Amino acid sequence: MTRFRSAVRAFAVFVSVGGLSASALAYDHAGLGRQALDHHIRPGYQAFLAASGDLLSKTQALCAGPSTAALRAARASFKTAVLSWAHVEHLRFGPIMEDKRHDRLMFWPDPKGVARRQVDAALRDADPTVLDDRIAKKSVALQGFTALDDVMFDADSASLADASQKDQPRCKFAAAIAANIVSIAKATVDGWASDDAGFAQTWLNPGGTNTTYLNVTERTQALLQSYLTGIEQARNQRLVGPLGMQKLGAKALTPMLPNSGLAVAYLKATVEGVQSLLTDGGFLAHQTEPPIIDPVKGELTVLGTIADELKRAAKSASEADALSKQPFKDEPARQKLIAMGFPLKNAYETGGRTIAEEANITMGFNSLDGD
Amino acid sequence: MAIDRRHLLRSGAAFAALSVSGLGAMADTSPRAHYLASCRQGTDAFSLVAFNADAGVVNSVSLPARGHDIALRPGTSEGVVFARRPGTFALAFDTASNRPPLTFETRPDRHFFGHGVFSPDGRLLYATENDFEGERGVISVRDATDRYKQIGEFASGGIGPHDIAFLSDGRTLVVANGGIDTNPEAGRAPLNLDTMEPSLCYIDVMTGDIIERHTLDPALHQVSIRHLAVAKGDVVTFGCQNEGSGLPALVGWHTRGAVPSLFEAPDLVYAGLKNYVGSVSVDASGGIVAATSPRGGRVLFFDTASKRLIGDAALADVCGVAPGHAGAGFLLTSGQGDLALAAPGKPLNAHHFGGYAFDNHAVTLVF
Repeated sequence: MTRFRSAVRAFAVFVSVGGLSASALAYDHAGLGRQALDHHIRPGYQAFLAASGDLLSKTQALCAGPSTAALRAARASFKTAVLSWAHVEHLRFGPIMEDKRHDRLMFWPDPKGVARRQVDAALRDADPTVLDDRIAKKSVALQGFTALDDVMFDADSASLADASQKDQPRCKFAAAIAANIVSIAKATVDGWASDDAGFAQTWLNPGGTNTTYLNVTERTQALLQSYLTGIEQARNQRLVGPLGMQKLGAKALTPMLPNSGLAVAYLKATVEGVQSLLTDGGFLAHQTEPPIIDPVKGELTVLGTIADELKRAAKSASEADALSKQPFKDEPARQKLIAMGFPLKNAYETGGRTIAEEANITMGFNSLDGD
Repeated sequence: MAIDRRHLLRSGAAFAALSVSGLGAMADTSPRAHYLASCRQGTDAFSLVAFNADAGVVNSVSLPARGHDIALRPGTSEGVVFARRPGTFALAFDTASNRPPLTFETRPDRHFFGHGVFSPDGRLLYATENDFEGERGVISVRDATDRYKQIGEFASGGIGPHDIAFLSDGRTLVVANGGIDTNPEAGRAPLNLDTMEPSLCYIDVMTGDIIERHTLDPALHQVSIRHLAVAKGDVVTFGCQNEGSGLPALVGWHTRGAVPSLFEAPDLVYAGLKNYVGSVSVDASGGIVAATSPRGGRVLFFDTASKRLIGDAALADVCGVAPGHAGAGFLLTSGQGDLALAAPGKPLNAHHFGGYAFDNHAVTLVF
């Protein structure tokens, strides 16, 4: 059975376009769309493609010449690639949403351990269809970073370094996953590449016959939705879930990427990605509220303060990772993670409201996730 | 949501107050409530509210968490409001007495999906629930005459059952199985989007047997059928949300023995729904269905006889929709505190009530 996960839908508070007001008329939607494309979307996906390409080449090298050093290099490349994906995971429009690409990259949460079971079965049965590009048609739980975390980092993965086992099925499975990730990344980069074609053309030309963005504000709405969803997913699922703080007495979710131990690093990269959307992406540059002059800190704005808080939240994640290999369980690393909760909530509520008010976008109460 | 007119007339006339322990009865001079809805008051207080379109909220009952839809109990002045998924509580209330509301829960291995319906005689309550360990939808059966004690359960015919209604025979239930698997440990996250198979199931409540099961075209397997309203002639109209790519049609109809169909509308019209219909309702005549999209801030009106689009309207974050109490058109509610009366071809008549975020659904107490 094929299954997959799109955790974002668990949280979404949708934003919709309200009536035009004076501030909306002043808001530079066109400038925001252009800046987001050139300074956040394109660079983010290009970095993801480059990191994925490196992951594939390192994995292929491992298969051709198994060694401890080659395995170490492939694993390091995995880390770079998965964190580069975390950096842009919050973007949920355009080519990444076609062909279930977004959902094929990360399978989590997985309360019943579906991914592990499917990976085990594929390895046990030496399933030939996960060893080449046919993997793109398999379960999404077998296609992305979650599966690769098992294949490349689990208790049996040391065999990947065994020089006597060149091109072993486990390694070919890993290489097929890496190639699949490259394919997804390349299709996404290609879709955004040209101003005059693909999704970039849709992005840059809202209104008229454009059914994706009926007007310029809907494009800003998509960016705000990504900002909100990215924060909410980071806080309410990636952070709160493994802390077991969903509700009183809740069972803690197994952190994502459990074999590589990258759950907190992934969380940090997610927060940094959202922070980049705020700053590089243009929300900060296009804010319309005048700054407050602080005698010590200089000009302060709400969004500038939120951006700083997100940086501190990311720093707190780094500190937690440095303190323990099980940061969701061990004090005081756990406390460092809990401390991320407030700035993330503030970024969601205050930051989201500020952007929405400036751009005259309504933050909807009636969400899109199935009710 | 199909509502029995005789019941509504009775319960509406008796709706002097939504009497709640601690609130006391509403003064006789208070505006009469015509509708009920779940809502959020302020930032984090949830309640069931009674209101009319002009005066706004006239009474409320606190809820332990966010509520969702409401089922009215035929032949009485009572009803039940359900928790929003994956909530486990439901609250039975009486609109005409000071009796405190009764809260009841699902079994530990189940949660509500936010919808339910009473049997026409008002004795039994049927609710859509999630057997999350079994990864299947179920319909629970509770005895409304015995403190809503659960007395049975049967399969819904699919995963993720959501809205539920009776056909005019009072024996056949129609269930919208949204097809999306969820587990409380993972919150509201969907777990099976690539294999989801939404369906429309007809169930004989005398036997629990699924007597008909229908799906959309396989190419639309990620179009989740979620909300229902039964129109004249037992035409089951339904609203969907799309979990896949593209901007497909999201409002359809079905009659037993036929193939489900989707209402035709220009691409730009469906594009404006942003892949999400949050509620559907049929007017008092049974001839017009309204479908709302909070994501798009749009409501569409279709003629259930000709199957044609006959109008649309715009209201930011609109979702709740119910037959207008005066017998024509619809009431609309929004997450921004707006209440509006709407009808095809007529300008929207909206009033804003700050502090209230009305939830996805509304029900009518008086025609």
